Amino acid sequence: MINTERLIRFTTRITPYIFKRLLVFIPTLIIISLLSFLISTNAPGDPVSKIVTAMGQDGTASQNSDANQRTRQLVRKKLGLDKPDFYFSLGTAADCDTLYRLADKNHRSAAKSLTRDIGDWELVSNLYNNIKLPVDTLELVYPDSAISKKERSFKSQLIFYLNGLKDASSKKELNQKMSSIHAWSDSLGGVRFNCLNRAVESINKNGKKWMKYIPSIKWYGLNNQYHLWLLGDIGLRKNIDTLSNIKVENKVFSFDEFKFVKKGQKWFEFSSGILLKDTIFKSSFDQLNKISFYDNGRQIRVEKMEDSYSVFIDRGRKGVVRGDFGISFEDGKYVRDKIFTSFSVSFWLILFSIILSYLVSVPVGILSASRRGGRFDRWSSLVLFSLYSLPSFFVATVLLYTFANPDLFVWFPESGIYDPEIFDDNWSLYQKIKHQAPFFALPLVAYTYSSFAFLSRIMRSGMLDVFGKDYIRTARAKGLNEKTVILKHVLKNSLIPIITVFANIFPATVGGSLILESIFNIPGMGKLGYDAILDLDYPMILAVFTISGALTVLGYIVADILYAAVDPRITLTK
Amino acid sequence: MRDKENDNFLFRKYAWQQFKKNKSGLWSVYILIFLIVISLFSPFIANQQPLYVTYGGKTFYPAFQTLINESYSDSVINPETGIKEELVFNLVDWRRLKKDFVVWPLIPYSPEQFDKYNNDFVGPYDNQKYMAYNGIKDSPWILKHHLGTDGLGRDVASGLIHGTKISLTVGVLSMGIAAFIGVFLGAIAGYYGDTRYKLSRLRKCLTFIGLFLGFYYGFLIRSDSIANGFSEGVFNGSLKFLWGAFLFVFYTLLCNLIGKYIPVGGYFGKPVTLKIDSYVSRCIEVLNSLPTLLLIITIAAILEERSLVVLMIIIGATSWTGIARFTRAEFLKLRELEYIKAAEVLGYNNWRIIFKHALPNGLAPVFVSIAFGVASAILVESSLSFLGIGVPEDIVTWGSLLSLGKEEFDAWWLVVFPGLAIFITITVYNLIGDGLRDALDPKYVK
Repeated sequence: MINTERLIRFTTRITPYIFKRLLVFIPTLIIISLLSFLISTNAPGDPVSKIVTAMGQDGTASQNSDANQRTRQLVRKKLGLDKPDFYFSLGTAADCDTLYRLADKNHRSAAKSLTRDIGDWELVSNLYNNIKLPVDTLELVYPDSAISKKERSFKSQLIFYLNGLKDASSKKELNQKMSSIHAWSDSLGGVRFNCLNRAVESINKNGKKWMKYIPSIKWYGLNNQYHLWLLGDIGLRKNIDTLSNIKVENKVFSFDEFKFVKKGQKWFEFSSGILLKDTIFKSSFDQLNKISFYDNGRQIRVEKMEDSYSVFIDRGRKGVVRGDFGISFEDGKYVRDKIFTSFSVSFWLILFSIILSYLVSVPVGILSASRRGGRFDRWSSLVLFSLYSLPSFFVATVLLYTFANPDLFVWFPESGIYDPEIFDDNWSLYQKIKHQAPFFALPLVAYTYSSFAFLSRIMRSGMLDVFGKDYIRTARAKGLNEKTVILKHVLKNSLIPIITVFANIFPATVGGSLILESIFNIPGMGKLGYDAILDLDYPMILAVFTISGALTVLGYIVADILYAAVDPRITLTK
Repeated sequence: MRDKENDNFLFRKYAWQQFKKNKSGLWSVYILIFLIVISLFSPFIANQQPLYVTYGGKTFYPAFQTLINESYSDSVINPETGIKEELVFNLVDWRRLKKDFVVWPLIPYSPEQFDKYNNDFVGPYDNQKYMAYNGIKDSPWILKHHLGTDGLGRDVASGLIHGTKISLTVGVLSMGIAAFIGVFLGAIAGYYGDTRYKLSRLRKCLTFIGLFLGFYYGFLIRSDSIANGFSEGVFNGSLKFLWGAFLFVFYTLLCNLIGKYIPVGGYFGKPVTLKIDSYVSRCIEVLNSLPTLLLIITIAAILEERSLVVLMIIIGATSWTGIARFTRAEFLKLRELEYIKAAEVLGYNNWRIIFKHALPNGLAPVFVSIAFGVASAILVESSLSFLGIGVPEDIVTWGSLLSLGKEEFDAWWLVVFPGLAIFITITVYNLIGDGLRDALDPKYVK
């Protein structure tokens, strides 16, 4: 029975509060996204070198080669990492404000430290500019063909140390490296690198160490990574390139520095002669009329116009505000799509487990509270308490040991959510459920048991709380039988805490299901986030953190509203 | 006339009496004490060095001697060959020597020791071998792996004993850090609220400038130095980090005090409020909305440094929100009480009122939430080591033992025993928390 008047009263009571909360919700979300942005950009390792390594082009010898550097820059550009991190940066007066352009992350951080130690970017960049010349000179003066094997090893050592100057992160380290360079060059016949020596000398002489004690804030403008992530190209010039130098042959398609080659059924992408990752093509490339495909963050459209082809590269990003979470570094797929798939897996699992645990815990709570101190109460309390303290990864492992163990019972499959060999996407819903149910059985138990214990305890204490109230004594004094008292008077009021807890359980489970998902190998949100952290998939980390943050805050708001809905005495506005 | 019994009334005593009535809580305390004793004496309970041994006419106490100097050595005349030989205690295999008399610890294995005769998941009931002075023999009862071994031949029982120390330390210390942050922030947020901290506008501005300067000189320009310190060692890194933290506090306080003692009128002299409660609440909300385990994993991955100290700091720094919320709620109630009002009227310093008058009465719920917090910190630590993150690889913990069992489906002992150990510890802390809640609640009378 819905009482219209009460509903209106409730709405007027709750609306200002919701508005207030939503107003706070937005800045909170922005802070969460900023935090996760900070976390992901500071993560160790460099996604660029990871991808370059995966391309099979990265060896220690070729690390500083020109081709390698070019590839790195290209990959950075593709991933959108060639921009400053944020609208502004807080640094020292010594810092270089275009440091983000350097391709190598290690080099970048070393350069930053070195500049702070010396206090003048001019001197440092002078040093970096003078590293290449000695290397080239060495190649010219001592060609590999003209020197002995011993000299060749000296030379390679020398080149190694020269290139290593880029990773010096303090003046002390730089001078140490210089002295070992001198030692090696002495053994190679006393080559002297005058430019380099002069650069290091001026560093030693003209350093302004005090510069690092002056704070300075540098403004980078809207064209930065965070802006593109959050707001997309809002406020930026739409950057659609039309390229002209396109060649289309039977199995080769190229424009600019890109080149696509068809091998078998797949297209491979090359750049500067180097194989990049497999590119995902949206449409078949055989009828070259109108093709569009996504290439790490950019939509590329090829259109046939009479005799020539035009390629449009849409550099525009929509940004999170318009539902675009960017593109995963890992496989070039849309983060939004990946999250949606894994979230729905997590969502159904959690929903089922919550429903299950409510179905069990409410009767258990009622029974144990109504016969407080009785045998059932004592035993169920003990069991529930034990369940509550059992670590979920232990339970999950034990379940796998018992019911998915080839030596014991093989009642359920070990991992995953379906068998890729049998599963067919075109099955009817019934067939899918029938196939997937055994996969979900064990995870469901592992998900359910702890929230079940938690809920039963809350239910029991809620019931006991109500039992002590005066109106229950009145109901009993009226002569109502115990059953009516419990089911009609106590139960209704003791449901308050257990209903409101729902809103809190849900987001907690989304983030906290990481361990269970990785044990059972379920492709859900937690595992997605965990893998993203291990794989340095920045857009994914950001998206997982932001979405779970948003869900949690929404959960709190829903919990508050539920509180107000079930208890008219609660006022939400102060 | 004063009642003598009331005169001696101490809430602490009363609470302990209440707590004692709770049988399960009391037993949990006993089990906890037992666990603490185990972790304190773990080098003498599980060690590859004998407690006492006579060999070649000499008497040694290897378990004690290696405790002080790990590579303690002594020369002995071999009773078989009569040749003088050097015994380096941490390298020698005592099982192989022909000893005159030996007293082994309860578990004669160290947690990191590889037993090459019993590697590849030997179970408690399996046939176990050892190398005696006269060849490979079946292990006698004292030399058996009573809880089995893992794939590398490491003793599970020994790992459990030494893991107790790690779990308890991580749990208690990380909650210590969390309690420190949580109580402090919760107390000032609850006491001052949004309106009660008044200061001149100049002082407010200067405080923010001080926060900025503190961050800049304490952390930003020292970030390289701190990172280098951590790569040299945990101690060095912590020292440099603490120095940075000190500088941060110093600059903030300095600017704050300058603002206090500069007499200024007009716009900058007007009193304004500092919304401490809002700031703290916002912090709690943000931290609560981030998925905790993912956050801890990410921070552990960023810091790269795998050490227990870092892990404790991370867990502590991310789990203070519950304590802060409880303390804040308690202080909201406390500040309206008459004795606090009286203290305010008497003109006591605010900090004195907070920490000397209000805090002792506001700690009860904090203790409860610390007890539960320790349980969840232990759970987080074991989850992380189960996933293989954060805890150094060479340290054997309950979680890392359990994760080894995940890979080998026959080795049930690798799952059951560590799991039970985690379960018991967490239950104990939860029961203590439960008992404390009942005992510290004056309304609840059993």
